Amino acid sequence: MTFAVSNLTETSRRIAKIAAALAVSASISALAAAQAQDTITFDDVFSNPDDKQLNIDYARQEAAAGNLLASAATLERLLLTDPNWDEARLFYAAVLYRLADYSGAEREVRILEGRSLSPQLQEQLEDFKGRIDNKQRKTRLSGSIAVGFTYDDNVAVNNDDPSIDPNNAPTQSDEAFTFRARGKYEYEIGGEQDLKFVALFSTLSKRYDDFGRVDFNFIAARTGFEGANGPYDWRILADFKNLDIVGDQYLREGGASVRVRREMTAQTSLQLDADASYQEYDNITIGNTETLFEDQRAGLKYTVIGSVNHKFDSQTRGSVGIGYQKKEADFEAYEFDTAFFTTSLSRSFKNGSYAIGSYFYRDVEYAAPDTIVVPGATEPREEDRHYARVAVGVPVGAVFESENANLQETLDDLRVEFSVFYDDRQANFDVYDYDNTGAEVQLIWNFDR
Amino acid sequence: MVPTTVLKSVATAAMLTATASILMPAAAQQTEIGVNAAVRNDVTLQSAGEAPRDAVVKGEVYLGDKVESGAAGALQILLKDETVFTAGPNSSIIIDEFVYNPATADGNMSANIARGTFRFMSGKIASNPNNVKLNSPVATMGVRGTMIEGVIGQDAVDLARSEGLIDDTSGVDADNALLVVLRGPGRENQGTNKRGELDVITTTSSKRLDEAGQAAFVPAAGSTVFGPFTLSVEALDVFSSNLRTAPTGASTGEGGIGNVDEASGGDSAISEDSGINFDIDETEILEDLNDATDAADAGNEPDFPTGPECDINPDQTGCN
Repeated sequence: MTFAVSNLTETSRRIAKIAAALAVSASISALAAAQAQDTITFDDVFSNPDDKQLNIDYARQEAAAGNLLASAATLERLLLTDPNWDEARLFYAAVLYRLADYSGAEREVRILEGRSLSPQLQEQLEDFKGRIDNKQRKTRLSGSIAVGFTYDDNVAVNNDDPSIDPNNAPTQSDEAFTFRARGKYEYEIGGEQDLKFVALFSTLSKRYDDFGRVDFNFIAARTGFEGANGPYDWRILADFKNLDIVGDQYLREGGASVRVRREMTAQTSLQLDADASYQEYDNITIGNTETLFEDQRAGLKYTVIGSVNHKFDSQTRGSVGIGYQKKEADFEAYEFDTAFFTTSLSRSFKNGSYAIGSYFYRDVEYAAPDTIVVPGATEPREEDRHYARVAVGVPVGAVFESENANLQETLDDLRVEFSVFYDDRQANFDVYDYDNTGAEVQLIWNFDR
Repeated sequence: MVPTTVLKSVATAAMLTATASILMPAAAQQTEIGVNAAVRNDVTLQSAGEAPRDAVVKGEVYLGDKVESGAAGALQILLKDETVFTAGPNSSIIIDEFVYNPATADGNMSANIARGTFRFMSGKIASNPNNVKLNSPVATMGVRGTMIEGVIGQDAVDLARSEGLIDDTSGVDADNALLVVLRGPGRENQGTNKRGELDVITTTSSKRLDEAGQAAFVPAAGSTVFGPFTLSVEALDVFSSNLRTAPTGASTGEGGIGNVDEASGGDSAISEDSGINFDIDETEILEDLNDATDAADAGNEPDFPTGPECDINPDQTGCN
């Protein structure tokens, strides 16, 4: 994909500032609204099961806290008393949907379809009808397409190298367009294992506005099966990845991956991921110079990751994982072992805004000295690497409202995400050191067909 | 000779003992375990030794009360541990054991369901399947953290036939046959409730239901449990029409709830419609991080000039 590139620095910074302000303000207001309510106890409801407002507030409170069973029971009670309360019935359908009782939710929606509803309620009804239909289909195609603009400074590259005058160290701040697409096709086979055929696709393209020679396209495709049985779910996939840099093929990778996850409690699951693949590198040409030695990076790569996922409430989730990876290579200086740690925390807000923080650390030890990069090196390269990212997103539809239902639906499917990231590498040879700080603003379109 | 005062004391003590022995069982039966939270049409409760009383909202439910509903009746009972028991039309249910310690959220309960339709949503004590037993004439159900619906009698037989489980009624007890379905929470549920399990046990077999939508059928006492199988939408609708409601008139208006997506705890922008986006699914976040580092190894993230090309030749143009 090619982008027309021009002097975009100032414009991009303005866009980033506006997006960040919107996202932060939406998130703060949603959070403030969520915190403002007083807590209703079960005893309050037990003593006043016929208090409509108290019970509807309780249903809302419990749903927000993730206690969907209590919310559903409360709404059933209200509907038993007042079966003509259409708004409560739609609320009930939404809770059943979140409980994954799709046939129950569909029944309530079907009842409401014959009712005389306000335009606002009708719109919400259509929305849930579409979601329920999606869940009940045997085939599903979902994913996202995103365009973004990113800036990173790279100012500290090789900043510890004494051969480079720190006062005159060349900096390479970059601005680039990004294009991301991700898709997942699912076909439900069924059976006791709840078997599904799945095909996943993702791509990332980057186009620099001032350094076009390192433009790249990264594509990953995976296909295989997913299943579930009791507290376990699993998947097994064949994986393929391809990376082109400046139009030349640089990396091809093929392998297989396995995931097994076990639900330990309603909120916590353990997960084990393992993959093995073969990487094949090709030399590429930058300017008039063919780069060297990439082909000697070819070899097998194995990764194992164990992680714990936890749902703090219906809107806050987190995970912690540790892993190990080994990479073999024809040239030993490119072989490495790495242990890594990863964690993430995400929080969503009622208007669809969200915040995600993630962090990745790894400790890499190479197998042999790299005398090409560091002439005379007698010990292998070792390095620590840190990568952190914080993102805030807000649906466009939460900021700009339209009276046109189709346009509003489109706006609801769009979101603006602003992120900042930091990447740092510190090695036992200064030449490898760098740190990099950047930011990105993306416009993301979600689809689910 | 025994003094008169002593005789009087003995007589008084005997009377008190006799009175206590008469009153104690009644007191035990009057242990309040819950409240009538919603009532539709004809439903009665009957404590042991007493006449049936009409169910009214906020009315107490006592241990051992017999709940009986008419052809259009329904009652939602809220038990003290947050269990919600709904009796549908033509039901007969007795909650004959209920022990709950609020401090530890532990306890036991059992109920005998003689006929009709019922819906059960777990409360705090249903964390262990041994804690909650629902007894029907043909099977026992052990419930853990879930919502189930069941029907006993001719309706169960009719459903079994319409679902193709039985061809004829030989060996079927039309008064007592049981059909029970696990409604959720399903595997994809977005809340924090535990995904439920239901053990259906007879004297000759047992089956565990652990996926939402799975059902089991027991045609008669001592027979094998059919299942698990998936009920059709039409069969589920039969349960819904008995246990849930349908409008009876014009809408009672709007307001007070607002956007139901938000009210139901929705985070739709990232948790569901986004599919496999970089979203709240932690596994996808891990994958993205892994992809990012894979890409970094390959030379494209966070930025090509800091990748392996520059490892190889940091003086190369563009490697700053």
